[in-house]
Amino acid sequence: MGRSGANGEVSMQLALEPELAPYVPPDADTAFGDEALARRAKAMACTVPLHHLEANKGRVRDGEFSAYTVWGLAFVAIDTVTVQMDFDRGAAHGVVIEAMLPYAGRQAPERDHAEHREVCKWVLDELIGTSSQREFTVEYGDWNGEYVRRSFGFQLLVERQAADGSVYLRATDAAINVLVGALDTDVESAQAAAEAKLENLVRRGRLSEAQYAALQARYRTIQLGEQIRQDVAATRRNLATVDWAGEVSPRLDGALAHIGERLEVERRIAENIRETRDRAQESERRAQAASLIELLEECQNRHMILQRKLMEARQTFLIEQQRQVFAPPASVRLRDITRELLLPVLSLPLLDADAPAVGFFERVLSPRPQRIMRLSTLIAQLLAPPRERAELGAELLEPELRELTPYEAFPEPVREAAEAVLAQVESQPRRLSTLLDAALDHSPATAHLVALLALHSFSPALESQLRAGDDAPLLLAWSDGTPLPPQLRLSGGAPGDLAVASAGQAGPSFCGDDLLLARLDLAPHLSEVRT
Amino acid sequence: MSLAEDTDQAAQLIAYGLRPKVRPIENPDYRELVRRYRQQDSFARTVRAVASGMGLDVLDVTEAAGVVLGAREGSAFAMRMEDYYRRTRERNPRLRVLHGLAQLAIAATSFPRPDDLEDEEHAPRIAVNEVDEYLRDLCRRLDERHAEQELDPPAEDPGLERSWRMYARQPEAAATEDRRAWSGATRQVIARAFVALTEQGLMRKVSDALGGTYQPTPAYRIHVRELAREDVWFELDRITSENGLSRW
Repeated sequence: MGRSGANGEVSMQLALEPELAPYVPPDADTAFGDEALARRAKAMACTVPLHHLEANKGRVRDGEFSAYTVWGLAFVAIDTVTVQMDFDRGAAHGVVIEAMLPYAGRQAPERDHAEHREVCKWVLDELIGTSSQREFTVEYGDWNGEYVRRSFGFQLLVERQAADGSVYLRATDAAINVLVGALDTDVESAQAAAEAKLENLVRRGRLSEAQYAALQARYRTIQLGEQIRQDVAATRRNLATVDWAGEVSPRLDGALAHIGERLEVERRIAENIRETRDRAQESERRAQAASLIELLEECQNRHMILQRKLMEARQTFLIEQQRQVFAPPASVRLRDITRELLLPVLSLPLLDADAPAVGFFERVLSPRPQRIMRLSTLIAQLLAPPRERAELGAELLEPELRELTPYEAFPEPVREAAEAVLAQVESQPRRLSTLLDAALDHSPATAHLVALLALHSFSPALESQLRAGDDAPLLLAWSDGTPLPPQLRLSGGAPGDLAVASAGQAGPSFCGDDLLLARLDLAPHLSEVRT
Repeated sequence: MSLAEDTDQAAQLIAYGLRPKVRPIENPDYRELVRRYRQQDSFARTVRAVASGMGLDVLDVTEAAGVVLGAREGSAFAMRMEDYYRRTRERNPRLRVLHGLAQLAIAATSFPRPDDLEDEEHAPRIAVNEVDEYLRDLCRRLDERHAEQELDPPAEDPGLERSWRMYARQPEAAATEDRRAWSGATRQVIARAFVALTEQGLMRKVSDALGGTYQPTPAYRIHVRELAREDVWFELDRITSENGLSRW
């Protein structure tokens, strides 16, 4: 910024360069001891990965991604994951990418679908942090007391594992906070504020902002539900680690009271909006009001679910108390492993936790005997015939062995004939119907096998074959929607798939699409690439 | 029986103890030695003396578990974490604490209350995913408890990071580019801890459910009971109070 700028520029310059500003002696307690400095710095840190995405998009894929506003895509990803998080699941990677695709498509309609998918995948990977050890670290200054530079580590989307082993995504509190913009607020009071804002907006007829406020309220409810789910899970595991009277019970009470209020408030708002909708003249505003009502209904559903979980929470506590607390005491003084070992180690700084953590590990897994080698026995062992393991007890019964003949669905001549028919297929596509005709000349079984082999070539794993270094010509089958001719379609089947009906006395009948087959030979081109 | 014969038998019993997968119920000689230990005080003293000479403590001898030995520090039988996981040799304590926490959490999940350590029939089924969830839940509690405190470590001193914050930020599961599980993910670490325990005859795999479901053997209860004794962790108490942390 030049020094000889307009007035506005000069005043900005003064603010940026303190030596030119009038001197104000700093009061150590009020000026530097402000927690909000660090808190706001950390809140802003949560947005750094998004800035990073936007700043780096030109550096990947030769700048192709510059056509997209990638942080818009990032918000879609975080929204999708957050909304899919109910009480215990999040969103699968695929679901998130599908949700992002239409946005990428709108941003760069001239680019192809594959690139849209690539940019979505890149954004999602960056939000998970796959290129940064799945963690973001930002440094900030802590003014509380002495000035200390601290590093703040956080995540936005985390991968978690479902019971079936699949990996899905959840949004962290940091991400939800970034998303809703309320960066450092108490859950319940923020919700109350959102309510007041919503009512106010509705009264003034500013519906799109009202919708935004309702969305905000919904994210808060999801957060509250997550907290209570974790409380219940902890209670089931060990009651001793849960402070029911002091912590959880008041939280449940608060949440219950709050749900009662929310249900009432939302009902009132919905009434107001219905009125607004009925009075509104513009069709756009009517549509807006309608979608807001839909959103409010979804909020109400969520409150109902939360309410049910709250009821169950108390029941869980009573049952677990019966099970865990009323049991006979131990005779000697033993530590409670969670409270007196695990929690202290978890609380310590890494440097101090090192020794006890390693100590427990090494002691619980000891003793571990070393094998001692002796040359004379080693040589004897190497020369000895395999030892019979008499200590295993009962003598082994001689198993009864029977000669097995391999079961063959198709005898050799049929296999050869089918191969000969398929050998006719070269790079020029051929219809399955002509191949089947040729095969039927040999035998019905040959035609059956040809049909099965054609099905097998439908969407072959080309990529894995090539990666394994197999560049033999590959049979490819695809459908252009043409059905098989009626003389082959003796019995009906679902359109769109090829089925071989049971081979009756009159021979097999085929139905479905008349696939196209061709042979793809990449070998010459591959050798060009390799050399 | 002569002194030499007694000592020979005592050493035999200890040799069985060093092969944790051999159980008295499957081996009549072993069963007989266990019976003798439990009935004859003089033999029990000899066994403990021989063990002591080898740097071992006899933690307990039962029909179900056999002889359960603990290695003293520096003994030839003590196991070292860095022999087990080579990468823990590095200067950064992060990985060592992670593996230690996994073992502690498995013990805590197996024996939620001190009384469970005295109960010979207590053998719950616990799973990799449950242990991870348990740890994460404790981390969340610690976060809540320390909500008012400044917890981010100074930028130049990452070793002052609190253990639970490190654990909480480690992903529970993560797929690498080639779809293999990433070894830094906490559920991988816990799964490996279970495998180590199984190799030592301290756990038995029940099923693949929930990332791998296991059941502690009688010997595991004896090991953990020994480690839960009040006097074993005075050093931990000292560091804890030095760090100004209150007890739970």
